[in-house]
Amino acid sequence: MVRKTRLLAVVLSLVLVATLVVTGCAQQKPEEKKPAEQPKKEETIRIAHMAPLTGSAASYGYYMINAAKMAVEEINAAGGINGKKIEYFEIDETSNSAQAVEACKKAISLNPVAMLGPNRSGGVLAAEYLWKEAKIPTITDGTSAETTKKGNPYTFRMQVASEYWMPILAKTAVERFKVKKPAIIYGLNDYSKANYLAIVPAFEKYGLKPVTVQTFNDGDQDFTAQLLAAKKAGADSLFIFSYTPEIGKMLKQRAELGMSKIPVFAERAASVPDVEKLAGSENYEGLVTSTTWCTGDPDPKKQEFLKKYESKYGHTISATHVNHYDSIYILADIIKRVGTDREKIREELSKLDYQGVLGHYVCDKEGNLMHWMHTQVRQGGKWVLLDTEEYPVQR
Amino acid sequence: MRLGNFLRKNALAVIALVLVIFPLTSPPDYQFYIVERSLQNAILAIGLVILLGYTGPLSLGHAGLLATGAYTYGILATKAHWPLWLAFLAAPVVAGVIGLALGFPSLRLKGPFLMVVTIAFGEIVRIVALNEEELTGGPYGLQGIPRLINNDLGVYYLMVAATMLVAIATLRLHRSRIGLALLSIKEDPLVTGVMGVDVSNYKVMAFVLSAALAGLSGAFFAMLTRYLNPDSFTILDSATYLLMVVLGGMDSVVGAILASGVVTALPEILRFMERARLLVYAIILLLVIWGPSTGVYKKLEDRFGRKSVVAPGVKLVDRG
Repeated sequence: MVRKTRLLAVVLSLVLVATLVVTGCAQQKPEEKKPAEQPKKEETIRIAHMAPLTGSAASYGYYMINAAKMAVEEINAAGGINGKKIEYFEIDETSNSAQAVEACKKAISLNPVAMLGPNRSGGVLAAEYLWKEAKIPTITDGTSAETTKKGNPYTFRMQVASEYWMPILAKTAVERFKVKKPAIIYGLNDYSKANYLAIVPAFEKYGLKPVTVQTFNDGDQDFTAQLLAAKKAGADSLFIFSYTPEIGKMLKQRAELGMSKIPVFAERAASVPDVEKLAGSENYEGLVTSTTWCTGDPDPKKQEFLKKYESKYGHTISATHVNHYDSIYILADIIKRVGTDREKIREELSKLDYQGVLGHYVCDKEGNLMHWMHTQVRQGGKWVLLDTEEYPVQR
Repeated sequence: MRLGNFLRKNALAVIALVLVIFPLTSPPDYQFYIVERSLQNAILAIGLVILLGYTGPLSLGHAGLLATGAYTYGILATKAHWPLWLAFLAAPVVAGVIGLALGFPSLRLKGPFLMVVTIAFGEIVRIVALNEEELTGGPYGLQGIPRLINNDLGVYYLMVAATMLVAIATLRLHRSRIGLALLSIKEDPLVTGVMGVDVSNYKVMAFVLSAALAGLSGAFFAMLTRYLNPDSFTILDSATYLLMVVLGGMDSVVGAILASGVVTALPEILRFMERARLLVYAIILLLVIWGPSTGVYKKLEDRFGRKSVVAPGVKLVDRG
């Protein structure tokens, strides 16, 4: 036994040394990766959706999946695409970047014509090389501006980059709410940090500077220190950037500290219905957020979608998490025209100009598909539309 | 019985053989990656066997050591542009040095108190990684980490070789004078000290060895994901590593390797259950661990009639 293991140890050491020597001398040479096999003449069209079904973002993963599924069911009920049904796969990426790599490998192994997700920018950044190597067009979420700046032609984004979420929020705050002394509280994660970095220059345009900037770690439960620091600094408004659970608790603690009169400005994570459950409806009133869709928008097509969704799934919508409904229709429209060749789908996506139910999608040179933003305020248990901005598309 | 006997005697060689042959069956990318992750986890789990299984202290901070190794490799490779093999060697060294620092409180603290220190350590590493943006990329993560060998198979075989070497070295450590000292520290540090063994020295040594292996595992982790984000190094991950060791039978190296495979692959195998998968995963693990504190592999081993042998000819009291 001892002799055998010794022999094994010698052999393995040699292997280890050999690999070290080889890599030490050889230049790094990019590996030729075979693109994932093109789907054969299959009867179905496969689309894989990487979404957070468990983990800290699970609360909105369901909106994304439900919306996409609804589109798939509608298309399949109407006979599919050129007679072929869509086969839709939901893959849990748990909002963790290491897990996103695993989920993406799983998704690619299903041999889809296109993919949706992952949800968070961290996951997109972790996994983007995978769909680049496999040459699969992927419509991601995630609002960090960086994800579409990697020069990856297969990355598209069904979201608006964080740099656009903030100027309009600052505008609404200053012009409609006469904010003069904003305080900022943000969570230490890629998403919230990006929002913080974007709002500071937006304030500068109005000659404003935050009176204090406070941070917290994800998963924190007590925000008294940050809130009191804002109060002490004489803030007349709170700008809170965080994931869903933290902002819910913060809204509640703000009321408990007697700061209900200080208005709160936030972005899409705060417009998820779960925040209202955490904060309590009375503490949710008056919240102002920027959003890609305000459910108070009177547009009949959007209202019809809202009614359809809510009657089908029996819960309120998270308005900024349902655009993959249109993603599915966009893909269906493209596949109908050019077939299931991934390269052609990518090409068509890159010159997209499509009127969907929830908006007008145009692809810019980085692969961003959405180019508009609204602000909304919570009044009487409903969202009311405030300002709207459209951004020029650089193609 | 004969087959069982053969498998028991040559467990490591059989695992090595299977791992070497595995890529030749040209498995899908996805399965291949799961096996890669299992190997990477196994290296850390073996490190925990030295600490928890042999010496006794319980660590819930090993994700922090994993992060130390991963970020050491990642930062040296992407920011400092060190030669990759040097960065690779630096990972276990830096983690080992941190392990040395972590080892000292273990001399004064025991049981739950030490565990709290290790938890705090793990969290501190994660929070430092989150805040030191210049170095770690903070919440944006560290991107574009190059691999020591720029192809999947190369990294894989390097990892197989490393895992097996680590396993053999640990098994030999177990039988050596040092191993005996560690084992007897676990049984009774006071008596061990009276017998003339430098208890502090050996305890710290166990921490350093365990930390260095976590660092090595971290370097492989960085090569596998090619992107590092602090969200991969939470206390939950530390607990998962602990689980691998417990499931493998606490002081069994082969058990730790097999359990790493099971714990890594199970949530992936259960993917067909979609939303219920993590719940089912937890239930399965509970059922498996249920019963005596020894792991499944240990039980199988006992069934085939082996008594724990510390050194040839020396039999320990059965602690089962």
